[in-house]
Amino acid sequence: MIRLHNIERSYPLGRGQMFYVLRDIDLDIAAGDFVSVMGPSGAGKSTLLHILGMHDHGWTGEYFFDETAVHHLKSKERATLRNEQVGFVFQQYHLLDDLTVYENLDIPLSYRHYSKSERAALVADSLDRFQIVGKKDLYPRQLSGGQQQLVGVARAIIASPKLLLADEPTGNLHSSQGEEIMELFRRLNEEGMTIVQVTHSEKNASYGKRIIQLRDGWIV
Amino acid sequence: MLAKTPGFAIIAVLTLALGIGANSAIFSVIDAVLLRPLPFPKPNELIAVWSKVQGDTERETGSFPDYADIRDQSQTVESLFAFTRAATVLGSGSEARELLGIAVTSDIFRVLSIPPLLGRTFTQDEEKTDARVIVLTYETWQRHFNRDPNIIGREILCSLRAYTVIGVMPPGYRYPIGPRCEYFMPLQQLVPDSVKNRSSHFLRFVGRLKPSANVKQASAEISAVSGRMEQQFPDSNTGRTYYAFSLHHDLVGDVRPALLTIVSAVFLVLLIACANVANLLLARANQRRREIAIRAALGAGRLRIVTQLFTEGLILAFLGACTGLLLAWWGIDLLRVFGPRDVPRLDEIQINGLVIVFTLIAAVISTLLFAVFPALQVSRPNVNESLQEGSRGAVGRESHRARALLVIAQVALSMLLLAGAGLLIKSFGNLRATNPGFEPSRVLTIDLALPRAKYADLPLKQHEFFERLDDRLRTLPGIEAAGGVTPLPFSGNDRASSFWIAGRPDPGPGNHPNASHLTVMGDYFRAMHIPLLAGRGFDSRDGREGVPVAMVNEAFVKKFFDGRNALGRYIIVDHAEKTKDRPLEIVGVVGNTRHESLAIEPIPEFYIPFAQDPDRRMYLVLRTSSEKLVGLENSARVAIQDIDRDIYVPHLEPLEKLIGITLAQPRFNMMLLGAFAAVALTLAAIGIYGVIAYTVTQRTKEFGIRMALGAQRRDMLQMILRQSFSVVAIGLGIGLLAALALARLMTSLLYGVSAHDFSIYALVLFVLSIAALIASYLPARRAMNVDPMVALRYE
Repeated sequence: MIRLHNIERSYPLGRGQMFYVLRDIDLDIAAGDFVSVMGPSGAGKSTLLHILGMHDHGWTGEYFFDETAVHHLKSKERATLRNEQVGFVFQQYHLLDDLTVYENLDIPLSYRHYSKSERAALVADSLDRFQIVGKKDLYPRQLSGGQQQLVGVARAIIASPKLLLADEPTGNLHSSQGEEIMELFRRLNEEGMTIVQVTHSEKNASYGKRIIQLRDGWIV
Repeated sequence: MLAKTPGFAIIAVLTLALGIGANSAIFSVIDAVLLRPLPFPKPNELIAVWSKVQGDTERETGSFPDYADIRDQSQTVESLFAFTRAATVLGSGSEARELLGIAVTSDIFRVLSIPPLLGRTFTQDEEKTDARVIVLTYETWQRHFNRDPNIIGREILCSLRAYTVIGVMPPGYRYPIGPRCEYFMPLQQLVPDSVKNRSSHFLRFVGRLKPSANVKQASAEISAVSGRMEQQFPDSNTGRTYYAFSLHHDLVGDVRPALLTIVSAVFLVLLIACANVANLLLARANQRRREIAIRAALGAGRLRIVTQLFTEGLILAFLGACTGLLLAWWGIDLLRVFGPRDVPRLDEIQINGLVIVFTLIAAVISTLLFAVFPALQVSRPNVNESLQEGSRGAVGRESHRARALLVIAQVALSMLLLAGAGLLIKSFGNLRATNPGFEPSRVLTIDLALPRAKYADLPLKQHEFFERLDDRLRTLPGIEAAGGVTPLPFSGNDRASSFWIAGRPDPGPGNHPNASHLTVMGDYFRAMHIPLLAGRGFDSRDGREGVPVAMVNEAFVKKFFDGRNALGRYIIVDHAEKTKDRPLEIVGVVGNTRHESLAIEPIPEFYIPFAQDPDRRMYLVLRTSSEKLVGLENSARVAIQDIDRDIYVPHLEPLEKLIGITLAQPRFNMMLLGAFAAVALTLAAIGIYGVIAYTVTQRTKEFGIRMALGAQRRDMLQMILRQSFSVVAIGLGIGLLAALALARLMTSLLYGVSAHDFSIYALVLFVLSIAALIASYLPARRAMNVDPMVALRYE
């Protein structure tokens, strides 16, 4: 599903010097895989995730998503591909404070040209699936951290992406809430969703099928 | 704290300076024109007396006999003077210069109660004899006589007659207030015939009340005196009543509506400026929420926090006021230069103690307007929440709402100002586009008055002079047509005479209709391009000994002949000694012309040929072949002085300039309101920009999330513009309703445009929307370029 070849990401330091965040990354991720990316802070984990999620455009190398050569796509084409194929879960949940749970779930659909009735049906399904119907009119600040991340996951997959990217999804949760989210990930993976998560936790990493270790930008 | 954010402080101070400075400048005008007492002792006792003829709306001047009766019979008026504007030529030959002054009764010096600086004033006895005395103003003594200490008793030449200077008034003493006034001469000897004629209404009366009387009592008493005069002199006084007004009100009454409109406009500018600064403070308050929370956590009470924030606001306002005073000081110079001449006491405007006090009060009020709400809002923080949120601060819904409300207020106030300015601009455009009934371009005029000493009461000599001159002028190079008229349209002078139509029943004394009475010479109608609609123009048949004739305008025919044929009909002009009271045959009909101002519809007019109605004064009218004829003024001077070298020839004045003078007041109103509207629009746009820019900064994370969730750049732009316009639209709606409700108060300032003119409101909505669009688009572009990777790390 994903093939990275010789991906490099660097930032200029001045006087012609470059600082490399990622070096010579070669990585294959098959459909239905559940990959945990681990490594110390500054190893390039989040950068790799944002490259996979097509937010970052400043890399070099080759990136194939299914058979599409992402490295040849223009910015707008990458955005379209991302909207169709990728969902995101963030450590800080990143729900929009001024929108209700329902409205937060509706946002990704509003950017994907669904009709109003389709959006309503999908949001209703999602609320049902994640058992948060009773919380649909609440604002994020009225939810616990675990509940907020639950909404974050629901929002990430509401448009049925093939790939779910999660950047330390349990980093702000206490252990029982973290376990719930990881169980949810496992179930989603079992249902066929490809997941790449960044985590510091060995325990959470163990929910994946394989672990990639990054150090100083290199896969080790 | 302000020193740590110099950018914020500078923007706030400059915004306040604009708002406060504009208010200070306009207040200085209000102070000079409306508030400051007249520069005479006990100014509240001074009154003006005007007459009004039944059925007419305009106030009128009065006759000398009426003046004398009112003065002698009134028990409430201590003294009353009558005056008319006059002009004289000081000196002779190449050093001659024109002085403007008044011919006045001696009572002026008692009424205005200021003794002369040098010498004495003239007495009632001197009025009755041909004493030839003159009192100079201080400024005339200074300018023309180099403050000669021996001026008293010196003989000076005024229009070729020797006058003895008997007094010099103190500096600043002049009457009327406003226009040039350089001397005072006894009235009766200047117009010995007119002062005997009760139908000759050419005088203005000003008096001083007895200390026990008030204006209302005086007015009632003077009306009663007019009633008696009406019974006694029905020929001249039927339907004419005299009333008294406070002199101050009389002087400023005409400009009051325009000034009050401008004051309202400038106050709106201040409100908009305050809204802008309040918005800045709210933004800053959010950034300072953590600081305030720490202060509160350390024990600072709410009052203490509010006081600190209010004090900061007061410092801003004080700095704004000081800068504003500088702007006002510069602004009033512009007002003096560009202000219309007919606004009384405009030359007296200055930054004085009262203006400074006003400015300080404006600063305090501004502080209350812009600082209190943000201070109250930020002074009750949720300490726990604010401290936990980190240094970036939080954007409360309350703060958002407050900022949206301020933008709504700014847009609504700007809408009001722009609508007002738009109406005045359209009104002014209509005025300028109004056809005066003649073609003023390439027409030059000379206001020529033959000296009384050589030409008074000598109609034959007057006629001979102007006839010879007419012959000379028409042959000057570059002259297409030459003629003369008195009074000239747009010269500020008019003359009305009563008449009746021969063959119709005499309506009886006092009931004769009035029409504008003009005397014309030579090719006046051709020079002015006034079309001949029927009959013939004046020609050689209409000499002194010819059959008395008249021409009339369309309005005359319409009003007095129901638009039917007036040719061959006769009118009899009352008290027309020059035509020996003989009927005048109407031989021609010409097109209508506007006389006093472009805003006043043409009124009925009749014209009499100069040969049959000679006068000492004539406005020469020269139509030239090109805009600028080099040497024409000199040629005209030579032509005049070849006939009589003692005649003072003033400068040539383009007729367009005279029309322009009558446009000065509406142009001034339009320019001021337009300038304030432009400032308002700019401030409102800055306000919208500030709010959107701040919102974009505060919502960077949100934009990053939205982009991470699939939003395109276009989606972000649409969202911000939609949110901005939902606020702006409310402001526009409120502003539109307010403008529609308040515009009718401006009706008296409008010409040819309804206060609810659709096109103006549509245009203003469009302009404000475009301004709001630009102001929103610039920061919205930043939102479009948010990098989700960066934004999501922006914690």
